Amino acid sequence: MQGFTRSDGVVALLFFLVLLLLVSGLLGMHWVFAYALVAWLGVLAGIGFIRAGEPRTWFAAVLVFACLALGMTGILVNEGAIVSSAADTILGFHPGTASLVYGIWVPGFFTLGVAFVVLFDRLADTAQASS
Amino acid sequence: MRDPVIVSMMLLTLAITIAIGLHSYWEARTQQEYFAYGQKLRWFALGLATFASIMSGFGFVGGPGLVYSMGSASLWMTFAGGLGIPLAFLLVGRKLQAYAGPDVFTIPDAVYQRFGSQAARFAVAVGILLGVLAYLGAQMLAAAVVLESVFQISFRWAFSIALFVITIYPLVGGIVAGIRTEVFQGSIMLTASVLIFVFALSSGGGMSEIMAAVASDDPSLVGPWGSAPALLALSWFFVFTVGIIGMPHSTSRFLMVSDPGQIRSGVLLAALAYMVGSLLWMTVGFAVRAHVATGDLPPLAVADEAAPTFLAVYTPRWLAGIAFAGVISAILSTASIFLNVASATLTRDIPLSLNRTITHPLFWARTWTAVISLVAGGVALASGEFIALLGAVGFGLHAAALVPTLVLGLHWPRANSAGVIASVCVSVFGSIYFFLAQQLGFAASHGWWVPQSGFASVALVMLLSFATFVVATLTAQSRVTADTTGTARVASRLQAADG
Repeated sequence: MQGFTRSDGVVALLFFLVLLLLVSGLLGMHWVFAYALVAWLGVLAGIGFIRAGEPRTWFAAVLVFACLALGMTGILVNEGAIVSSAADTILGFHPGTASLVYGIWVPGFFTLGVAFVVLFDRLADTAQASS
Repeated sequence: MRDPVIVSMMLLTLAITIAIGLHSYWEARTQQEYFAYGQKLRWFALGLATFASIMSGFGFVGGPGLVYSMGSASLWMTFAGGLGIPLAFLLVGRKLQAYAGPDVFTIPDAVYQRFGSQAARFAVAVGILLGVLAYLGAQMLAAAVVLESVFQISFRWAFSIALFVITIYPLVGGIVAGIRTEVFQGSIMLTASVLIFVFALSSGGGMSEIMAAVASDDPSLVGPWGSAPALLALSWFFVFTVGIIGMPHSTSRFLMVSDPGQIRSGVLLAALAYMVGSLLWMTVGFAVRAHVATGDLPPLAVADEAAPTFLAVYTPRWLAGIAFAGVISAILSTASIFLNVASATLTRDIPLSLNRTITHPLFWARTWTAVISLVAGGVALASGEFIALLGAVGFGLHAAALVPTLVLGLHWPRANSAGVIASVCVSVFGSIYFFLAQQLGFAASHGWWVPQSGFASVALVMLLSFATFVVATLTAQSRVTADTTGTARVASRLQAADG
């Protein structure tokens, strides 16, 4: 029987977040759901990026998580803002929607996509591959 | 009245698609070629074909319609692709590619290699097949509606043409035809997206003016959740970001690439192209809503008329022609690949999982392609709107059935076949339950339970499937034995690749 490994710990964290997403979703707690979702995506990015002894892979995962967390905070903080003229928009959008566009969509692609390309050769991990 | 420019562009697109498809016959002579492009896929085709198959006709017509009716809420769906595509490449791309080989070129093949279980291979194959059948009829129906509108012919004729085109080229040329036509179709879609985005922005005087006009009519539309409950928008984001990993028509490409390096370059092209497609989704819907708010246009009777109305009123005819070619391309590319995936499942995955020997695989592949197409077409014709509703179930079923298997299966050494089978069962039954409860109205008529908070049922099924995978794996851990030859082979391949 295998002992408790690092991958077991990651799955346990994902499992906890699944339960949090389920409960907050069913109870209608959208702030909790939003941050649980950010954490869930951050953990998935961590699974994809992080390799032991490769600090740059940690940096990519943390960057993805930070972008998503900041973007989501911008959305939640500004969700009730009122737009009555073009002057109330930020780069063309309602302040909350601007956080979605410029805080999650665009940075999310660049941090995930570009980091994947840059770190591609470092992402192979024979220990994990043996799964 | 028929527009000669749009009709010409449409005929040209259909003719080129069929020609490329038929020409591919000469390069689809083995199972590996027919189902897996001979495992010689390069980054450019990987990127553009992935974009074309994920951005279905819904992205060109249904998406702008949703923005028109719900505002920013539907942006969460399309923006998810910008993250979901890189996430899919990151989490499963290279690992799945390591399983590829002369006998491993479908997802159920890889599942068998990973878990050493024919039952797991069977469960995944059935999950894929059910989702494909649900989706395929909806694509055929959508193609028929577009052809009927452009050619001004009867629906029955339009449907017959759609059925013929969707069937003929994947039947003859398999995935080789599918991918080559997708590269052509993806190029049209990309061109149309860029040009229409520019026209949409300029027609409304820029994004700020468009948003201000929309807000003057209905302020809720421009906020981050649009007119939907916040949880619906957020759960869409969850489903479409993570769900892309479980789409068999895109994820199976990782088993077709010639070497891992192709995955590295393909990701940027696929995700960037999808993001450009999202610009069309967003701007056309808001621009039409702004024109209605300012009185330039009368309110639309049906939200899905947003894109056709915009093309008719605010773009030159040549651009409308490219756009309609883009719409039909998006539908054809998704449908043809689904047809190939379903054919692979029936020709190869299910017989192998039942320990049957495959004889005359290409004959059966082409026969199954024709049979599936006719069955899906017959069901779509007979059931009308019902099949369009069922189409939405297809995406959710694939996401719920395959995401836990691929993500946990490839990254968690303890994962086993019990988890796979249990999570696929939860996905199938959960998807059917919510289809009956929500789409067919059993919640209202029979009091079936559905979430009341705005939480999307697809997200609920995905989360339950994920949790089931973990619980079933741990519960059955001491009882499951597996052939790990495939896993060991992959480990050595990755080790060799890393030097």
